[in-house]
Amino acid sequence: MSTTLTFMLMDPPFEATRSTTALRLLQIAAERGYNLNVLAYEGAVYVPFAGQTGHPNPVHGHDVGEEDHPLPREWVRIIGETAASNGGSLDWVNCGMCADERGANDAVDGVRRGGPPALAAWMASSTNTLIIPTRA
Amino acid sequence: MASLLCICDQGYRASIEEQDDTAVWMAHMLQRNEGTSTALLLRASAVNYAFTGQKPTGVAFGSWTQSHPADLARDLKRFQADGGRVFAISEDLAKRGLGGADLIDDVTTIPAAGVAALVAEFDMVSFW
Amino acid sequence: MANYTFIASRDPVDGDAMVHELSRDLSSAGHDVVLFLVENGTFLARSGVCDDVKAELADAGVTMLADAFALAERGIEASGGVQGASLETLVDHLAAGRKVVWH
Repeated sequence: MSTTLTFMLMDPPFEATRSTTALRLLQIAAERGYNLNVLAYEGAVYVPFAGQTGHPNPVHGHDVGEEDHPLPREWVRIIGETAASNGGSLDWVNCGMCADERGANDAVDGVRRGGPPALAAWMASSTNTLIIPTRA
Repeated sequence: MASLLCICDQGYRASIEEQDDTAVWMAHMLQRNEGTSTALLLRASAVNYAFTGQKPTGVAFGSWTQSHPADLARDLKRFQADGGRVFAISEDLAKRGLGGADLIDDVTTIPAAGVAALVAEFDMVSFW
Repeated sequence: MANYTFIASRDPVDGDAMVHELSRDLSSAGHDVVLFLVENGTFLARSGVCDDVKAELADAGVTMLADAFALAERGIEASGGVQGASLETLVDHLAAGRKVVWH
């Protein structure tokens, strides 16, 4: 029987480490070919935001290419590709209301809108569910 | 039926903009889902959500005034009406000047030392 | 008895102690408990930081692990019964169906 893991993220990228740690866990699970579900809630809808772009860093003395700024939207894409290439899957749902209020609907390919019903269904059918809280 | 204990400890984190508490909201949505039994454990500043004396007025910017400021005691009562259970830690209530008589009905107060036993009753536990 | 893995991501000096107390109490009650430190939670692993907490957890039988990546990032040598570990271990715990709780 295949392993299915569900994650719920709340933190936006570039502001805290929790969503980054979650993506590291997802990458490990993707390499194992697990089926992965993610509900991005609150600011986490910006994790796969398509508008993320790199920038130069004058303190580092780097132009945009040299800086090679990490972009979580790319990590989401890589996780999806990794899961698929290992026989698994990534189903990433952005909380639709959270995306609307933040103007974050422009997400990378493969991200769909949803909400708590998706989380409830995944909780019932997954091997395990990890809810990652935010912190004010 | 799967049971979930949501531990909510960040009172008023984003309640002005959201007009509710997103952890309470999510717990309520999951409680409404058939097959999920959800409970809230209020601790730290979030114990004040059960206080009947909250008087939310909303914010105003110029001529714009908020129509629906968060009413967290109401939201807890609606959660209870849908079958959700609400717990609060007695020491955290006392630290904030609250006792059982100050709270909405049917809030179960437990000592901090009782949290482990409560956690052990649930299939799943999450902090928010 | 259940199997718990608590993920502690908050600075143990500034953060609240609930995840440590809960780990200690559940382990003392006979549950199998792993406390996995990540991010700023790994400061607990440094010698001289909350040594009394580490001793209490060890006495209660809690297994203490810390994300080796985060330890290295912060220059922390794990001490007081904390062992460095890969996040692979956390994925193992999720796949094994342990109750994994992030604080």
